[in-house]
Amino acid sequence: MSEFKVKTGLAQMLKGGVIMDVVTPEQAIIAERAGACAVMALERIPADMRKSGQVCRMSDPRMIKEIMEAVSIPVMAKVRIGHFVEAQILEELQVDYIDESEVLTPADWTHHIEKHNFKVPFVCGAKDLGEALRRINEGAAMIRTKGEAGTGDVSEAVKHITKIKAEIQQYKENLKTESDFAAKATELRVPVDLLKTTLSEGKLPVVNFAAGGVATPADAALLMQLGCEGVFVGSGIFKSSDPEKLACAIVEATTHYDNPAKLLQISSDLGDLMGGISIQSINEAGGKNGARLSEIGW
Amino acid sequence: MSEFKVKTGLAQMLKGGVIMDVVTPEQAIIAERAGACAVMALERIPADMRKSGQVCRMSDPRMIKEIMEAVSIPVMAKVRIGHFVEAQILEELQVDYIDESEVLTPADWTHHIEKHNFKVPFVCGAKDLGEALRRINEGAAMIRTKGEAGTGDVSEAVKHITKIKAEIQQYKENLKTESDFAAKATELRVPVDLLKTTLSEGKLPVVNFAAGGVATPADAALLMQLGCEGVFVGSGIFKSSDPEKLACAIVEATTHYDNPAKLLQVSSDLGDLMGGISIQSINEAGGKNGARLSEIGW
Repeated sequence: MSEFKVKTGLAQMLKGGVIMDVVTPEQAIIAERAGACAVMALERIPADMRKSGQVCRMSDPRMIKEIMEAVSIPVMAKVRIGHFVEAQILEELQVDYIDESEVLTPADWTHHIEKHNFKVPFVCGAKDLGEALRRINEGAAMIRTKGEAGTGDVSEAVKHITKIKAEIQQYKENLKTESDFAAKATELRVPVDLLKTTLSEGKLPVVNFAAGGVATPADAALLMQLGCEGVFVGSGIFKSSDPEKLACAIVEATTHYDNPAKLLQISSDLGDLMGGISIQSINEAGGKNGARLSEIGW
Repeated sequence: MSEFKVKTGLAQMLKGGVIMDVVTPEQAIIAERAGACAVMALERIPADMRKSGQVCRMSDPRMIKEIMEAVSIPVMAKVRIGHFVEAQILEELQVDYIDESEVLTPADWTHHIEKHNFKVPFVCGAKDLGEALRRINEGAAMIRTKGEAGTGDVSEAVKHITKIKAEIQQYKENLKTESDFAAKATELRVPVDLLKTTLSEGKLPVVNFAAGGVATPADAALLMQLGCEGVFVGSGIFKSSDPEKLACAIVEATTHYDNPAKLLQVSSDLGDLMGGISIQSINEAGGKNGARLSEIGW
């Protein structure tokens, strides 16, 4: 079996699960107990990065290691876009997955990391089909919607998964001849075979998770019903008044995403959810409430 | 009888009535005693949401349930535009109506909920005829003007009802041939039959309520005289100094909307009304007093 198949197979094992951002071993334990399929070890959650306006980098490996020692589920960690040395360091640390993330400050505005050079699987964000296929072509074993991290506003994640699905559908119907495929592959800057495989399967050749703005069990279920295969929850959980309860509720909602009775039960009495900041108010403030992170990456 | 007829028939039963925003069972009881035909259960009233800039979502189902248990009149609750899972949850909770509302933060900036998929009737906002017919075509059983929620400024609601009436009148006079109808239906993005029914009846095929900025009995009567078939009152009542008295007065004014003697009597001695914020000052502040909610939805 090729190494890429091993890596995408590993990512398949996360399917139907919830991956939670955590900043301490204690939070990681809460996430594991709540049934998270993995945790993302971070020094600061996106909601706080968004406020800071500072340069955000790979977290201190010691802090990631403490989280790895605290839980038995897989641990992911983020590197800056294009910062392949941060990725080399995390591979050496033996994290389970690396997220090359637009939430951190990019190290290279032209090139993403050549992810085929690594044994550790990567997850990358995408807001349309071309971006997803470019990342897969570079070696990403898992895709997530970019959404708009740190906002608690689910509408961008909805936009990105809807867009990817619509593009696959549209190209499937409209591309007929070899030259149609070749022209579209050139436009998207991806190999024609990768495009063909994707269209013939009707889905990305790797798992596709939702991320960015998920704050409630209903948000998680919405994205699952829209076709996502699992959910990242960042700032939402630990910015709420009862993280443990909300974490369990989001895991349940992701499993039982098409069962309204169950969704009603777990959506009740969750306390104060993440206040967040709406996409509209970010747009209107012209950058004063933080930039649109989903615009980073290409 | 088709399911859509049952749903629009249910909404007909609210005609001539007042629907009041409430955030607690105590407020719901005040509204019921004052003669409200229904209540809208919310965690925060629009005037407070407007100030926050935060993400506004479906209310906690537990809180909605407490209000359902406190009163015997119908209870409505709001979901985010496009968030069909929040709607599935409220349907499971057995609320009487769902408001797919621009007052909350949209979950999808492209698609509204496919409301024909639900048994529970929906109400949606509209600021012109095309928007109203698009919502009805998606399955809305009741339309309300958008107005400008949380302002206490009635001018937007006046604008929207006047616009809808003027368009119906104008198209009725100007559209003659089949191709006229087809062209206009395409422009409004609605089926031609729906447009024809509306123009031949001279009114929307579902009930049309006023909403957004109603703060006084005179406001309610104004909108009724302009052709609305009932009134939503949001922030107005419980932001005033004597909610009980004002609630009764608005119910009376909606019933006796064309009786100036009665209106004089119920308009007197109401104490301090909602201060609110004028549309003009929102426009001039360039977003600093909160966005124009009526611009959300399409």
